[in-house]
Amino acid sequence: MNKIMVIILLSLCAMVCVGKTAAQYQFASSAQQQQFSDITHQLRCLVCQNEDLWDSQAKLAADLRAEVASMVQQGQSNQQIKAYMVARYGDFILYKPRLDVTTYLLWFGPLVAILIGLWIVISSIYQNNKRTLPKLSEAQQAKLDLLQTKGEQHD
Amino acid sequence: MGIRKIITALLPLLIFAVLIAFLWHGIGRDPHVLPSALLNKPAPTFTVNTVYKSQKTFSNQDLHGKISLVNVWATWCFVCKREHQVLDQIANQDVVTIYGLDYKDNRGKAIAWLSERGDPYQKIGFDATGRIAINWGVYGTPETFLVDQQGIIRYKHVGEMTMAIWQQDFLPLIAKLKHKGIVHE
Repeated sequence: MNKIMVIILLSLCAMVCVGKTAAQYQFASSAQQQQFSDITHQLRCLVCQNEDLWDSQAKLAADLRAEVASMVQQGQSNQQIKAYMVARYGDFILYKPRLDVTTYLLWFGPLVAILIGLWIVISSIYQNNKRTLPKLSEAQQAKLDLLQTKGEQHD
Repeated sequence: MGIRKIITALLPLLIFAVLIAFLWHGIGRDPHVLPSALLNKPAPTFTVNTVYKSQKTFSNQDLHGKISLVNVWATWCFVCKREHQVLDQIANQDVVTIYGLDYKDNRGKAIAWLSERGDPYQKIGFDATGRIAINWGVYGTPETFLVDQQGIIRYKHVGEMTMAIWQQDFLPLIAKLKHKGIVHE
């Protein structure tokens, strides 16, 4: 019973933290509010590097959220806001790495590796099957035929 | 065994070796040290009030005509206390002009701090909200930028400044910049 209470309380706390971020800034429209939410989920907190700007409680994250909020209120586009951040902090501030020639290996590498692995597994099974039946000479083949038919007769 | 079989046998080992090489290269690096996006770009345009009211303002115009360090610090930053002694020594060497950017701090505390520990700064900007620092791509304290005579950021050091780092990373670059400055005049 106690464990359930603790879980409920912690969940409520978590909800309060998220709610705080949303309510902190006034936007002219729900579209702007949505834009703010979208962008802060797409930018990384540089202090708590596995969190996005929306979630992070770090002071720098709060400052950067304020910057994003004021840019959203000024009517800047997602692209402009992201370009602003990347110009100052580099590509790392984008939560999802960009997709261009330099990051193809990062994006497609795992998939390619899996496909190569699958190909290796399939081709080695195929080769194994080929090897199960050794090639017989004519005399051996004749003997085998004889034994097989003999076996059938006895059944 | 055909050559094809040999290659097929060695290929996984080769790929593994390449992978290990990449991982090895990365393992010694601190993920919290991010390269500056502003390297070889002009310092951001800014004007900010100074810690000492008498200095009036600190702007990017101050960074022209000389090689400067811009050191981002705060009284609440523990490591900055230790670094400050190094900055005092660097100031005495008279090799560069040191400017400070006091990040999200309390003016009174900053003045008290400096009177206790000495003031190596030509001017100290007072960045109360941290917005100036954001334009410099600052994400923590301390950070130290090397700015050349044209106001272009040439190097950034994240973390505490030490004599070793000053000698190994900054001085050679400063010598190069000074040489360039003489040649172009």
